[in-house]
Amino acid sequence: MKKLRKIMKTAGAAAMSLALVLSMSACMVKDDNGSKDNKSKKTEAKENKDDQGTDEGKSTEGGSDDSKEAPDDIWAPFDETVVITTIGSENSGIQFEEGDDYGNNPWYRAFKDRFNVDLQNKWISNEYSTKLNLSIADRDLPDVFHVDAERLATLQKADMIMELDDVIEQYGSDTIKGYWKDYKDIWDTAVFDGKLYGIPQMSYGIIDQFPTIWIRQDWMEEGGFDEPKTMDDVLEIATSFAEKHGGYALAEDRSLQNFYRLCLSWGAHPGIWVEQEDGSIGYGSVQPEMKEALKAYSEWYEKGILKEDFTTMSSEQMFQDLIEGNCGVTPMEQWFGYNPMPDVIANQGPEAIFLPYEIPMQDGSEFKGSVYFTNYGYNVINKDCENPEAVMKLVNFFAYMMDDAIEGGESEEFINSLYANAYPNLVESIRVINPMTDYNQYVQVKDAVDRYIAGEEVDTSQLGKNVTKYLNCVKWIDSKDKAGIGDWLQQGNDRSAYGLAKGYVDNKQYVEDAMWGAPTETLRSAGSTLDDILKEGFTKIIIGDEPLDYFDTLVEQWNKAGGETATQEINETYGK
Amino acid sequence: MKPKHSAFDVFLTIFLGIVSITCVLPFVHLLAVSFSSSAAVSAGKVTFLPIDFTTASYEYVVSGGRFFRAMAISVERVILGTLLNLVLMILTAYPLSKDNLMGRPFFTTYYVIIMLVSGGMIPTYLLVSGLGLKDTIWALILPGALPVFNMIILMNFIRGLPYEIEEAAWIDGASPFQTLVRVIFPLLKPALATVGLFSMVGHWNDWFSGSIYMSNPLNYPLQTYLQTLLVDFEHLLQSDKSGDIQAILSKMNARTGRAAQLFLGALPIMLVYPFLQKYFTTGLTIGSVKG
Amino acid sequence: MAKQKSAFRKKFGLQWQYLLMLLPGMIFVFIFSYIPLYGLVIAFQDYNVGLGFHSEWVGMKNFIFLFNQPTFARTIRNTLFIAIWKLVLGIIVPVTFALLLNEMRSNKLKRFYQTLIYIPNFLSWVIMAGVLLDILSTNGAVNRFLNLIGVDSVNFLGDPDVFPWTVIISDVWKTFGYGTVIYLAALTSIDPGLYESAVLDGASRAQQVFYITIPLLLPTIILMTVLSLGSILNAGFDQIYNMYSPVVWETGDIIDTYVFRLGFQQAQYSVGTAVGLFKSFVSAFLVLLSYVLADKLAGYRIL
Repeated sequence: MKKLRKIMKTAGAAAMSLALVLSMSACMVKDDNGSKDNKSKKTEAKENKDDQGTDEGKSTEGGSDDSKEAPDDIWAPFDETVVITTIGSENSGIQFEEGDDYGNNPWYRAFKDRFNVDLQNKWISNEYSTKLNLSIADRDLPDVFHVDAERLATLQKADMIMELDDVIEQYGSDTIKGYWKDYKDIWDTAVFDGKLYGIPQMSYGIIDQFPTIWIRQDWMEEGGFDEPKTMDDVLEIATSFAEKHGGYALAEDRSLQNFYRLCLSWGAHPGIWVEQEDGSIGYGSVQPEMKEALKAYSEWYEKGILKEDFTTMSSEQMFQDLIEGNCGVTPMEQWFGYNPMPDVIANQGPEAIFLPYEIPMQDGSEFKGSVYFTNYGYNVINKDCENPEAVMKLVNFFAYMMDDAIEGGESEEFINSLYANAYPNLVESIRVINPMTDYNQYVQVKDAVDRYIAGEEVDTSQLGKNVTKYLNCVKWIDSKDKAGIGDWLQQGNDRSAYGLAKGYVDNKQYVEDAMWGAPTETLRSAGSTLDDILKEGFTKIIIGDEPLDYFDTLVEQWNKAGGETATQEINETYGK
Repeated sequence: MKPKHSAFDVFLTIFLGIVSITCVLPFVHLLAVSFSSSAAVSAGKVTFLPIDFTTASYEYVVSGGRFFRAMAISVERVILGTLLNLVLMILTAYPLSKDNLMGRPFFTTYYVIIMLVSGGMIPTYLLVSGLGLKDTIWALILPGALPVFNMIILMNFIRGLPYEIEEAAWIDGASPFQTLVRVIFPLLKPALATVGLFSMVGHWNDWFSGSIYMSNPLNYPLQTYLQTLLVDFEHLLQSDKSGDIQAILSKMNARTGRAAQLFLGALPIMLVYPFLQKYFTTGLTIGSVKG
Repeated sequence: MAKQKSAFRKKFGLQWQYLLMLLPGMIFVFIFSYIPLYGLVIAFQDYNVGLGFHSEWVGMKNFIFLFNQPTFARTIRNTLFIAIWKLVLGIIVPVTFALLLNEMRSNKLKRFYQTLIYIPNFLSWVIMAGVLLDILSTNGAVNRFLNLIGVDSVNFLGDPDVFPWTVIISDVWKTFGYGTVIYLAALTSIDPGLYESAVLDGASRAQQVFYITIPLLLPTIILMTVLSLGSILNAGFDQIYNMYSPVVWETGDIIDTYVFRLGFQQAQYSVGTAVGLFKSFVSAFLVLLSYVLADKLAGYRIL
């Protein structure tokens, strides 16, 4: 998960410390309402619905498609078909229905039906970023496409993409404009010289960023254990599992991901930049708290709590141990129920489910997670695009389907056709995601599941695109079907990953990455090497190849290899 | 005199047999996985025998349709590509094998340099794109039309051929072209089988050029298509998550399907190999006779 | 030799035909290999895809950046260690195997073994590594076997002292079939009369091998070695990337894996090209060296 976050951080990376400074001014003027709560979204949805109503009226009159016309016309179709080109990445997760393909699918058909926009793929590739780089070098770009922060900066510098302020002002839906207002911090990462050059896709939110400790339930019941309140409780449970069932106590693999998750217990925040007591920003992985965590972890290794050769195991091999019943406790992310839980159940029976527990803090204080800046990238429009208003229609439509489709009176069938088979991946170049999506989804699904369990009627048409999650939970409840376990453990169960995480979000129990935006230059060129130096050193300390005090040497090495420069840059760019 | 089977012979047969068998164990493993249930595979139960035997993976591969389409494209590429490789290799290796070819040092340097340096992906792409080859099978074939390394192997083979044969042809008044076609070419069979196999394997296994030169995944050659199936879990998580969960699940359970596809992907080359092997042993004398 | 020269002189007027044959290959190589060489300039630039080959000129900065990386020296050391051993064992093992196979009486079995050992060459490292990680782990099949015969478990993948050897031996194991086939082919072309007269002189089987077979095999060995010297700095990215872990970076991290991690997050074409150029220079030097050595020591010309 950390790796994933890292990738996302990079996806959110931009070469624009300068641009950020410049954008501060814009920031100050416009940043009057930065609230991220749900209320504003609700009202927007309503406004939007109204929009939709009027549009339908207009469209029958054959509304005009010309750009300079009234902005309330944004939902109307064009009189003549407008061709918009795009590109995409091949995604083997997409399961096409008979007759569908990358160029002909429910999304593309909806664009044609509703707006008379013919979206065409210039190419689809399984090497998206390579192919994109080549296309940029070849100056052969589509009208609208999806880029990461670095490419955004490159294209802006090369004057190849369109400035979007006016386009959004004129043709953006209220939902889109609302995102801009509510998540200005994210949108500002696409601002250069005070002008917006990309629409940030944002993310499904931070609710998925909180790790927990997953413990095998049948063994826990067998040992008569209660919810662990301290790390010692966790270890007691874990070691008793190992004694009774063979194997070892705590799962870990060569990536050290589980260790990084548990570091939170010592108040360490590896992988993110954290504001220190003196007000400066420092890297979480090199702070003194890490040394404490390493001390404990190396002791655990010595005691045999970790597997002797975890340092060579891939995460897949670690999962294999859980599947085979060699281990019953693992710190993990919210997706644990999707992988490897189904296989655990297939091999160990449905009683062998793991449930998530809060990571106990060493000092007994309130748990605090680490929250990264997440943004899946930016949608940009080619400078030579002749119909940016057509592109905006598609962007508006995606956001509308994502957030307001039910209020807009869309049929369950239509919504499902767009969301089934991982189809949203088909329109990566125009998608914009409400950062409250996962949060709202959890609230909705959990509510529906509770009502189902209580025997009440559940109107699935009100669940929109979340209906699959709900139905999966029902599958698990009714027949212990392993296809439903992932959603059940993520959100359906009373003790679920999102259940815990919602509390953290509501109470603001997290530390935000001080690098709230693009990484700085040194981090972009040497960031992964810097983390590698630490990972290698941490591993040595844990398995006892180096003493604990090697940590200080390691930090020195890290500083020399560029860590010091990176810290300076971060403080200059993001410091107060 | 009939050789007796000494203890040494028995030892040899057994020892070499054991070593040889270890070489196919990974294949056996792959095959066992492809015929096992996904639960057994993810529990790590499968080694060399299928557990819960099922042909579901193969049925899945066949039903998709894309597999065979991709394979057809690969076959076309292998045939065209290998033929072009062979023609250019022969035409280049033969003159280069002549010691007093005019300007020979220049020509050899010309080829050695290019074996050591390459301009990289971007300029090559711009060139292919500029020539209008994108989305045609030629984009996969022309950039590597002359495999220099294999050409040198072939050149050394030609140098090793008995000189008298060629000389006889000259005395009969044959021109270099006629000599090449009528005398040399028939003698090249074993060497061509070798370098031809290298070319075939190269074309068959290359996945990268397919993914950058083909705009539509439906036109991917087989290995490029297989590559898309090998995307690991984390990568998939990165691409998207919400709404994608079913897909991820099916992905994880597709490990057996993946094994089946990989096996089918490697099979054609393995089937061709024994037929070409005959030529390897009938006297591939690369460089064993001094030039 | 004299005869050959005179015959050639007669044909000298037909040189144009040879040149004509060379032409198509020259043209293809010129277009698809020489023209793109202009791309090498980005090794000296801070390459930006938007600006293309007009990116900012930074001189040797990319090389300096690379050489100043704290771990660059060890990656060179590791690369050479692994590559040289692969090269050496990559000669000894197939030659030995070919000699042994050649001693086998049954031709059918010989062919069969030959087919088996060639098969791993068709499998990619991604798959191969998957299988190896499985059987080489501390409780994997190999260690279980070692324990059975009373040997302590070996941490093949996690012990920095052992890991390079795991890499070297598994690579040799995967690729020796190819070499064996080549050497065996060379062996079959040796005149059987030589052995017959050796037997008449009372030479043992071992003596025949040392005094007839090996000397006659030498040119092929030299050719194979020299041809592989050019790629000595490629210690095997696919293999190591799929098998290594942070504990063994100390000894297992090679130039290619290192650069891959360096540039993983975004395409750092400039540094990548700089590394490629650096490798080309070293390879060119090695190739020239081996060319001279082969000529001087064995009187053998490759080109």
